[in-house]
Amino acid sequence: MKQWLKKWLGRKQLTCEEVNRFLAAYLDGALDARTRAAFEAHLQACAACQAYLDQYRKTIELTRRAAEVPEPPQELIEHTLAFLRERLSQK
Amino acid sequence: MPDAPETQPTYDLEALKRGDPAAFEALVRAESPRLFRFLLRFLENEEDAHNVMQEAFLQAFQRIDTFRGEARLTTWLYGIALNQARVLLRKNRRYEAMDEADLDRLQPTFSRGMYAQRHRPWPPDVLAEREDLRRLVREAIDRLPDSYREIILLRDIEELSTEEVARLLGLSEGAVRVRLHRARQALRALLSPHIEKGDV
Repeated sequence: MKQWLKKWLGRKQLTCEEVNRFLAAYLDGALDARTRAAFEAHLQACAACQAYLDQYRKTIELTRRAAEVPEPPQELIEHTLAFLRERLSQK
Repeated sequence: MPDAPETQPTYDLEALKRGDPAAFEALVRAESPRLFRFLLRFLENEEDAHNVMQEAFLQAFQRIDTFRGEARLTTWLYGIALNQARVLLRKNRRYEAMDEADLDRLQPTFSRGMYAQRHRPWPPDVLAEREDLRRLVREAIDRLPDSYREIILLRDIEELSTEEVARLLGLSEGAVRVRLHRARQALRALLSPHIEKGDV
């Protein structure tokens, strides 16, 4: 059997459930080359997984944006240094 | 820690271990704003965030000899701060945390390997700055069980790498990803009805 055919036949087909399970690893770039290829092949052909990945990515982005906090007060560093000098001098 | 590793400031560890005040001051000046913001997100109280940060620096200075350099100094510092912050966290919670069973119910379900529910892409303008949606997201994060909320804060908000989060929490990278994935999916499920109904 030709090498490319052997390779094609041996390629793992992923289900949506498996693709879902790999989402975090995929976004981390932590999938091995073969699994990543199978993941992307499934994704390309599956509207449900594309939609879910879109929501998943937007959830991450919304989380990041929602957690923005104001800049710390100007005196934060000086207060912290004063606290540390005082406590460390008590040793 | 949101910076990429190559842009991380480097600290003079030898000077820190010698107790050089200038080296400590440089560390405090460089890391305070970021550490404070992290603690403020975690504790949602400025006074507590400030107190925990001060105590974390103090402990770091007193224990600098125990830092073996396996993690970045900043990751080690975050670990100290996180341990102290956990003590206060329960006191500051505004919402009752979900449990594992609640989290299970927020995971997608499958039938013969395919999604049992129909999903559609969210509209692009969902990412527009909207205070009502930001409030909803913050509430959803606050409802996560502590161990999931920590991971979301460290990985998706502070943008620590999975490896750093794993080291900080004493978990494998795989365990971090499993927990992160469950937390993200729970957040997605909590937000989805509001986004799809268009009421935010």
